[in-house]
This record gives sequence, structure tokens and C-alpha cells, in this order.
Amino acid sequence: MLLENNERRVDEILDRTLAAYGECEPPQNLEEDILKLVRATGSRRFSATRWLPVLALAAGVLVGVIVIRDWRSVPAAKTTVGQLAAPAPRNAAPNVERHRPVDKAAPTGFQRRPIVPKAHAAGPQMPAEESPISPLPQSPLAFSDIPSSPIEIEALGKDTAPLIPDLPGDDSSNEGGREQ
Amino acid sequence: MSEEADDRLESLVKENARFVYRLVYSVLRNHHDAEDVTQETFLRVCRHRSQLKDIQDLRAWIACIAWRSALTRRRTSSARAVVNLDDVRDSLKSIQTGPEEAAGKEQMRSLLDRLMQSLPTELRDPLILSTVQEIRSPEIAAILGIPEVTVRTRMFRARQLLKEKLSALIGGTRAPRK
Repeated sequence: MLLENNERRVDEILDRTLAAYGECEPPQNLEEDILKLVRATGSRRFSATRWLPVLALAAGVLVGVIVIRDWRSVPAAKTTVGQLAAPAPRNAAPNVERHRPVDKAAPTGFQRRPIVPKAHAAGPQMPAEESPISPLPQSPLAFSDIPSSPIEIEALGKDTAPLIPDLPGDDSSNEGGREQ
Repeated sequence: MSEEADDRLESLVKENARFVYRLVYSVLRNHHDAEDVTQETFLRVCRHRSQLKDIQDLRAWIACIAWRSALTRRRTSSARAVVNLDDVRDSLKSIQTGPEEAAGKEQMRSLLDRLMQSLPTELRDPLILSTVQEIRSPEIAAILGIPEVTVRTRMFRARQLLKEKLSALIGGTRAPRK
């Protein structure tokens, strides 16, 4: 019973306290202050948007003036052929043929002139001189064991045994070999 | 800015300024901060004035802006000290008369403020919003972005927790939970 009473009492206190917790009195001129602030912000924004095209126009005019002034101050340069500097002499190799562009799409009825090879286009004429590079020295013993005369070649087979034995009745070849 | 949007904004301010102020004050518990945040809320509304006609529930939308602005202000303002229930009990015992008799508005309000600070955030937020007279559960759900059933459950749990703490304070025993 005491516990229930205590709980009920706590409930009442909590209800009262929670109800009082949310109570507050806003300032009297709250709405007016907010509206003033909102209007001030809105008017600032409005003035900025109004002046934006004017600023853009002014910037365009300024750029135009600068461009026209620059264009007037620099006179157009008139160049004659006589004022041109002479081209520098070319140091081309005399024996190199110039590239001749091939006209692939020649008009009909146009005869191509035969290209005559020029005298200097044949290539460089090298004088017949001895090569400065000397031949490799050969050792006298390098190929001394290779037989060069036919007699020596025939003599090679005498000291070696034949791989295939002589067939009976075939004496011509052996005899010929023995004769020598 | 069109004339229509201006009129709409003006009517919005006149209808909802006090409601926004109370909502913000329930979070910040400070008149100066509450006024600042109320103005900030309507400035944000002003920035989106061209979209006002597309918003279905303007009151809930404004309340949502106000709630978030208030939370941001509370976070950026000086950090509140962590409330210890023992401190609350000591302050309550220092009152000469009994708790019920001494439950004057200001004293009990400050006591409840300190008790609420000791609640978990998820339980405290719906309870704080429910103390604002004009707000009902569906609007609290819209502001917090949770289902209405969850709002009611959390409010019930918060209330139970507060009751436990308060009864412990009145009974002179230690609070069962902190």
C-alpha cells in the first residue's frame, strides 16, 4: 500500500515536472525580429542579383575598349618583296638526289616527262685504291695437313682398311688399287 | 523573389515561430541560444522558399530543421558536464523542506533537467520533444526519422527510467541505474 502510494506520488510529480519542463515564454517581438532578418537577407540577395547583369555588361565594355585600343595602337605591317631577307644558301650534299613528289592524280592527257638521270645521280665514284685494311695473316701450318694434289688424295686410302670387304670375283677394283 | 513566396514565408514565420522557439528551447534550455537558433531556422527556410510549395508537411519540415540546428548548437556550445545522480541527490537533500513541498517549478525543472541529462540519448530525445506542447507522436517520429511505435516505446522506457530515479531520490536510496 505504501509502495503504491509512493509510486503514484512519483507519477504525479513526474507529470507535473514534465509539463512544466516544456513551458517557456518566447520573446514578444520574436516574429518581427525573424521577419526583419529574413527581409534583410532577401533584399541583400535581391540587390546582388540585380547588379549582376550590370557588372557583366560593364566588364564586357571594358574588355571591348581594351581590345579596340590595342588594335589601333599596333599598325598593320606592310611587307614588300624587297624587304624580305635573302634566303640562306643551302649546304646540301651534291650527290643526294632531291625528293621529287610523284603526282599520282595526274590529269588525263598529261604526259609525264621521262626522268633523265643526272650525271651526279649515279652515285659516288669511289677511286680505285687499295683497301687500307690489310688481310688477316695466315699461318703457314693452318691448312698444311689438307692434301691438295690428286696423288696425295689417292695415297690416303692405302693405310686404311676398307670398311666393306671385297666381294669374291670382283678383283678389278682391288687390283687397280694395289697396282699403284 | 516573387510576391507569393514572400507572403508564404511571412505566414510561415507568424504561424510557427513560437513553436520553433519552444522546440529549440527544450533542447538548449537557454533563451539566448533558442532565439538565435530560431532565427537561423527561418533563414534556412528562406533559402528554400522556392521549394515551399512542394513540401507536404511544412510544420514537420520546419521542426526537423529546428531540431537539427538545435542539436548542432548544443554540440558546438560548451560541453555540458556529465551529470552524476549522486550530485542530484545531494542537491535535492540540501533543500530544507521535503521533495514534494519543495517541488517548486524552477527547482523541479532544474532537477528534471539534470535527470534527463543522465538518460541515454535515444530515450532522451523523444521525451524532450514530447514535453513541447504542440508536438504529437507522429511529428516526433517525423523529426527523429523513426517509426511512431518506436517513439512511444522509447518515451515509455524513458519515463520508467525517470520514475525509478526519482523514486530512488525521494526514498533516499541509491538510484538503481545510472
